[in-house]
Amino acid sequence: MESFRIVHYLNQFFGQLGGETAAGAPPQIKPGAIGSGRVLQNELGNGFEIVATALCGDNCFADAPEATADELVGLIAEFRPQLVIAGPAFNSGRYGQSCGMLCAALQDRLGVPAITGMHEENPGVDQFRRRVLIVRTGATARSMAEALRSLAALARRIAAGDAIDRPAEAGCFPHGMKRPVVRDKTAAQRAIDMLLHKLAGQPFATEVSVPRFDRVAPVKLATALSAANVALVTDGGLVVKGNPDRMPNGYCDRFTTIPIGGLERFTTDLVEAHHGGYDTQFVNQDLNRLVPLDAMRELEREGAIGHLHETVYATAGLGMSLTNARKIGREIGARLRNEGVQAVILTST
Amino acid sequence: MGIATAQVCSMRQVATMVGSPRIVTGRSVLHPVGDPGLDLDAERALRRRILLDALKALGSNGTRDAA
Amino acid sequence: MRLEFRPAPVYRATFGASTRIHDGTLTIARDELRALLNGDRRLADVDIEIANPDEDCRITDIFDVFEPRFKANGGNFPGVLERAARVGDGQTAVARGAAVMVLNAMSDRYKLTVDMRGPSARFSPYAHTANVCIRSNPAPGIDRAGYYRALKEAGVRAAIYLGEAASHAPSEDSEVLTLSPSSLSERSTLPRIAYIYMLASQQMPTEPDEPILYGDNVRNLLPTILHPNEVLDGAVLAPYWNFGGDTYTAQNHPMIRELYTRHGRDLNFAGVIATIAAETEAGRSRSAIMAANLAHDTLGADAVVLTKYGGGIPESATMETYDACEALGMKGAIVIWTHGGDGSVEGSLTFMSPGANAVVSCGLNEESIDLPPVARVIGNASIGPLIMESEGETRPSNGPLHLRFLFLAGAADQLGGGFRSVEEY
Repeated sequence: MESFRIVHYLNQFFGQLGGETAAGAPPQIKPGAIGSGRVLQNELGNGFEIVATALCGDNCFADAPEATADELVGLIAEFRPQLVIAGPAFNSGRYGQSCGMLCAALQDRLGVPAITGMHEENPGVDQFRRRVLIVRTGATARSMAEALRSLAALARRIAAGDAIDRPAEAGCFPHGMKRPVVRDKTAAQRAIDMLLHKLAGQPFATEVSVPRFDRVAPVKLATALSAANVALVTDGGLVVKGNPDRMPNGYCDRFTTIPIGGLERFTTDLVEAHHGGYDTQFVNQDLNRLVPLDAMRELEREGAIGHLHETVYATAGLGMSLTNARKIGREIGARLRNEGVQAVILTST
Repeated sequence: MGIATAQVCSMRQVATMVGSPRIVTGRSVLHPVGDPGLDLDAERALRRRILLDALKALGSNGTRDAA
Repeated sequence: MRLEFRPAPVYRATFGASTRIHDGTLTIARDELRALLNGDRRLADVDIEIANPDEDCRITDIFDVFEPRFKANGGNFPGVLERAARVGDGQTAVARGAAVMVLNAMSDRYKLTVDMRGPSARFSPYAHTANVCIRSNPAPGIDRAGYYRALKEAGVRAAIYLGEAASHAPSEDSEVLTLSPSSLSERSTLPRIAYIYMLASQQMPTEPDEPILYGDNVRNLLPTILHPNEVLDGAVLAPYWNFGGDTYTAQNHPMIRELYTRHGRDLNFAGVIATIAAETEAGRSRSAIMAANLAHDTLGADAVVLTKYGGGIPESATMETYDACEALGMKGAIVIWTHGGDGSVEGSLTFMSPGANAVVSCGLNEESIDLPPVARVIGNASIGPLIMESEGETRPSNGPLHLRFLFLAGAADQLGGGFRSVEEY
């Protein structure tokens, strides 16, 4: 029987091209196993063959990640691997980035499974865990033997056709994704079970883990308020009457704009609130309750702000995915910056 | 250069969780800068007060509890 | 309180000369029930239809579901048709296996559907009940609030009418539920667990005459202690915004049932605290603090379990209440739905307290099920648009249906009765 074909990926250091001075080494591939790859080959045992080792300098990869990944995918494809093992990268940031990126590219373009290994503090973990199986390793190459054993064990499972539905049970970082399941006890039963375990100090597993969020550093206002161009933004579903942009009232993937140049206050013939997550009757009686146009005009006249920006940006924040929320936020932010806005008051429902 | 933001929000916890730097408490999820239970003058005064808090927050460095 | 349920089993329903339960068959005098409901001038075109388990039939436009119940000495859904009366004590006849479904002819983005057979049957308790469906239109000049109030009354009337038939039928084993003040205060090594029950969310403000708790609209409800029997015996109705549990669900409350089952064995059921999700932040904080105090200092609880009702704002209210409880040294567990978002674990809830480490999911909101076409529909000719669907997104009621579980009656149970969940991986 033919051996299961594996291509191994290493950076300049582990691939024995040299130290930091070889960090600019271009993508290349050599037949057979190199360096730690020989230990990996031993761990894998009979039935597996490291047919080639792909190599690239960390700096070369970091300088042009997309192009380098492309080139490596091409080189690797010629060896018709059934699995690619990258690294392990331990806690090395650039190496982790290359390994993660290459694995993702191989899976996308060749449909070949690709795995790697990193330490939990490697930034590559958060960046690629969703798409790539990443084995947990120690922080440094001192834990090489153990890391290679874990990678070999995972490789054997993949070769056997195991889909690795639960990465954590296979020694990997969880993908950080969720899927619907049907359990054999009701939610009430599970909650009481969980509570009793918690009370007794016994281990229990929550079904919904607490999220971690990006921290955006607060931006200091660049000018005096009395000179600032201030914009109004809302997630409460304000739209031009009739909703010409057809903005959804929930699970929204876009934003809309409302021109307010020359407008003293919102009236119900011009705008309306379109949002499925709260009872809109009160704001639809007076839209200034949602976006405070009348009061801002007053403050503008009094000189409390320099100028009220002539466009209101609005979306509907019901059940919106974080991906869409980030995208919409970035887009609105970019538009406001181009339009010379220094400050925003965001009204949320 | 970024844009300074203040969020008028009736769900302060949500704004805090996602790291909103300047949060001003709104009146209600149903009407963040108004209140149908007030007469028109009182409602306008309320709206102005919330906005003044938001402007004050904008002038600050951005703590979690600006107003 | 000592509540004795006397269930008369029902396996199917049919129309006949007189209303009675015999050998597992509920026979309904259609004209008599129709006349009873037609007496309400707010309703027009009242009609009754029946759907039995395994029929090739779909019921749509469901507004609420009731289990037929009858208390011979009064206290039938107190505060709706009759004045408030003591419930949770004494005998209650139950047509067990039957359900009254009230259908809503007005357009509304929150209406439920059930198929009596097919792939969804395992997720909905109502695929396995004999369903007595009440159809009606609002009488001319009746607004939404008036119509919805009339629908609740029609459901209650029919549930009592059929419950009375159950009271004349032989009952199999009666079931006694008792939790007396002495058992509540008894010294036990078992942990004392209180249940914090969110009845409604004021993000959709309840109507002035919307009957939820003993007929009260819970618009400004402050946390209050209920005996679990009161909930099981008709004191709690689902809000008009039926988004998380029907009246039937409250009558057979999954969390209360579970706590009763384990009372004296694994735990000491300390009682129920009813609360709401208030629309203002001040209101939510007030409710959180008061509910936690009641659990800790009045019920003497070691731990609390919480459920929510409604949409996203109750997530905040629940988390705040959980935090207030844990701050007093009680342990907490939460049953809550899960948003799909982009599929990552980050966007599961609009708000999650950093300390919320014991959370059970009652299912992924975006998850849908594909239902095959059906031969017969009870309800309007088209479905939709439902919430999260675009304007104009309607489809024929009898056709193949791609339906979110949120709108499958009984499957969107936020009170803990379902098996659906999420798994993080």
